Amino acid sequence: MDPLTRSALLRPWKGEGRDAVARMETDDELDRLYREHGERLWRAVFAFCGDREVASDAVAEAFAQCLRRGAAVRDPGRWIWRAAFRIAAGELKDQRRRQAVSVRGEDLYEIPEAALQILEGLSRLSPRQRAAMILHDHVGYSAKEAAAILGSSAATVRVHLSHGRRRLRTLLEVDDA
Amino acid sequence: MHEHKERLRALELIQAPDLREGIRSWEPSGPRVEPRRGRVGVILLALAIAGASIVFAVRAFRGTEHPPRPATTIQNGKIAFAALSGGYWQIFSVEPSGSEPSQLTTLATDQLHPAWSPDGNRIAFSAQNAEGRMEVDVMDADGSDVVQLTEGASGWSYLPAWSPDASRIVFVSNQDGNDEIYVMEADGSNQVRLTHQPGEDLSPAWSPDGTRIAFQSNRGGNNEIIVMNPDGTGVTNLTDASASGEFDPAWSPDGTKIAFASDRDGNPEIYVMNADGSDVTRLTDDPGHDWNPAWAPDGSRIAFESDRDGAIALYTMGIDGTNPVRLIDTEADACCPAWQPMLVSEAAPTPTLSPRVTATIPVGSFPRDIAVGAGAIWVSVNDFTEGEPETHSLVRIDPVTNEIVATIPVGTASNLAVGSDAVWTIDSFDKPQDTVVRIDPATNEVVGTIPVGPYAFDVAVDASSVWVTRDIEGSGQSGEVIRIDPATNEVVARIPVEGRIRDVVVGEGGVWVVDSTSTLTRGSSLIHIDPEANELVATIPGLAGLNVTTGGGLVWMHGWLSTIDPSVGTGSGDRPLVLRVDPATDQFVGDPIPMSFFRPFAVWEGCVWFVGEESAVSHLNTTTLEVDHSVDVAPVAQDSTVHAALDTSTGTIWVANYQNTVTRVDLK
Repeated sequence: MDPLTRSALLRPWKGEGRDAVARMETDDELDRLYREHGERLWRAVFAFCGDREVASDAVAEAFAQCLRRGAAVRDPGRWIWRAAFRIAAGELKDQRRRQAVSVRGEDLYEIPEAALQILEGLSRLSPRQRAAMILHDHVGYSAKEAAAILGSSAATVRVHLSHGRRRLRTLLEVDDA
Repeated sequence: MHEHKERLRALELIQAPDLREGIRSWEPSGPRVEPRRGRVGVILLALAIAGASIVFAVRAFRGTEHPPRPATTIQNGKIAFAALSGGYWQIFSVEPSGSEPSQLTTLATDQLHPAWSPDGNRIAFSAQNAEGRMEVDVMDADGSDVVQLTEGASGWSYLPAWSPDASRIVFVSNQDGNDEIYVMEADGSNQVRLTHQPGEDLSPAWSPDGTRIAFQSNRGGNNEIIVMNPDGTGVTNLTDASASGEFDPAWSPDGTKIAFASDRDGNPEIYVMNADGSDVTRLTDDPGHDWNPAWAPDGSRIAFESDRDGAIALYTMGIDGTNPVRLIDTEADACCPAWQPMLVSEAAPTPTLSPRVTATIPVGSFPRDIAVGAGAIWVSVNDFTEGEPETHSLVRIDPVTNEIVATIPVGTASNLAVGSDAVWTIDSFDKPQDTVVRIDPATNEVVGTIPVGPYAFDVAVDASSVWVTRDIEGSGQSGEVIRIDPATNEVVARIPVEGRIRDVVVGEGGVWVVDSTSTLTRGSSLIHIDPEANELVATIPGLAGLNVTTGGGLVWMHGWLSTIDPSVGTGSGDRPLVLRVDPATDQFVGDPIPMSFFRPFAVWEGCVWFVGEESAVSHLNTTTLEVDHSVDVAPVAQDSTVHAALDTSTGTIWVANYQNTVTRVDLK
């Protein structure tokens, strides 16, 4: 938004004027944030929890909370990733499926076979190993960044990474054989 | 490693929905956004300190049966931490002043979460075993004597912390399914589970008075700091921040405060509160992630980890958050600091050495080498003044007056040695025939010139011989070690050696020659010549730099880690180390000491004296292997040549540096 338009919009018209401005800025911010993070985040959370509904809820909740907090959030991108993973993990815990998450039946029909194999392999890792591998090896975050998202230390993330990688390789090789 | 990334690329084939419309109408549920997972990490060393005093009576170590010890002052020792090294997390320790860290573990698995015993002599830590699980191990402060304390058939045991009387260790184990707090005897026996909650209980820390254990738990949904009695009863939440996570509790040494990490402002910062949870104060405020506080044993500072400058690094700050100082400057991530309590008997003797610069003597131009002997300090000085002919001379300094008492023109005086009632230097540089020049210290006159052939380089003297190195034809392919009899000034032996032959030293029954073929490809080596037989007896690979010295029954050299551990290879995992060679076997002895820059020039009073980083004169205690002092003599670039010599009769080091000066450092 250029400064002129912005100052015009900020004129105190009537009661709803401010809300309208705030709403427009929020939409703007949402578009920008979502373009940057939305799909990658959803895919990562889905790979983590194996449940389309949980993934969508977690991502929507994270974005909505972030926008509501506005300027109080220093690094919205990082904040959204952290929130989404935590919400998804909480959901899984509630559903008592933390240890053995698997891709739900109704989600299968539109997932390509190659991705399905990986999802099934990931589902047999511990949640921490899975989260570490998704954030580091798939999304491309550094161990440090992944640790910040998971509320863990880079040291721990690296431990989970090394174990997860070893286990995933074994699982996929067994499946291939 | 890219194999994993390749595999996971298949996930990109999954179609993601566009949730924007849903988000616009979404009603956030608020409290559900909680940190899922606590931060593992800090282990607070719990200290038996009465009140706020740092003087206390040590009650007992390793059990309560031991008799009490005398009153002791507690001081700040080293900071132990974990850092990535060769692909694995290893435990290091470093002086709080940020000296070169010592690597304590060198296993091909991850070693994390060091925790000092209350007497500062042992370190408990999380050690990954061959199956990939973590177990609690304990080792001596120097990394020796590792003992595994836990042995679980399944699950991890990690994050140890000592009870203040050192009789027990509290730790985390998930052997029963999820992370719970356990306690065991310090020998690993009698494990008792203290918590029984569905959440993850992590980062336990024992209060200094032994009555409480603080830890972090997400049992209530998000991580909070909780305390309980050492038997698991009396559980009390100290924090109750519904929208944020609190992690890594660390008791102050006097037990009145708890430092912790919290992301309540959006990113993790270090906070401190009273031990009852009141009066929370933020100590750090930066965009980086600050975690894992650890108090200094004297309560004066707090160490923590932060990625504020890029890699996760260790910092210390005042207990009010002021004056943060980065501890070590390393590219590799470092984590989980733990500060060593150092118990000092009140009657402890004061150090006998206090190195300090006492004089700076201008020598007019560039000093090439320096040697001490015959009641004087001898400096070969090269004058490269532009537009004037290059001149070389030998300068004599009187150590009593710190004044130049003679300037002796000597061809192209370069490397120097004093012994056998003479000063010896090489007259070289692009001549068909280099000579060894002999100067009589009684008259300051040249009394002999001994032709040795071109490309002579260095000279060393012992009681019966002068040893000179020469690079045949200047090719860097082969050279020789020339032996001169000082009684006759005659060459009595020429010993052929391979490589780019440079410095020579004599001592510990051997002549030691530097082959500096390539320090880049780790192709340099140390050549051992037996003076009895005039024969090469060993070529010791992996030399780093050009300098070696002898003393204390050993040869001290700077080498590469790959020298002693070929599995490291000569790639980025290779690190420079101080290495000790047994002259009887030509084998390395003792533990290597990681050090990035080490130019040893003397061994004296139980110390190896060397020029260290930034040209500081430092000494390495040959018993404790600690670098005790350093004197900043001349801040010049690392790769500049700075020579130093030690006068053992007075305890004085003389340093020739690139500032066209000679610096005097008195050690006592």
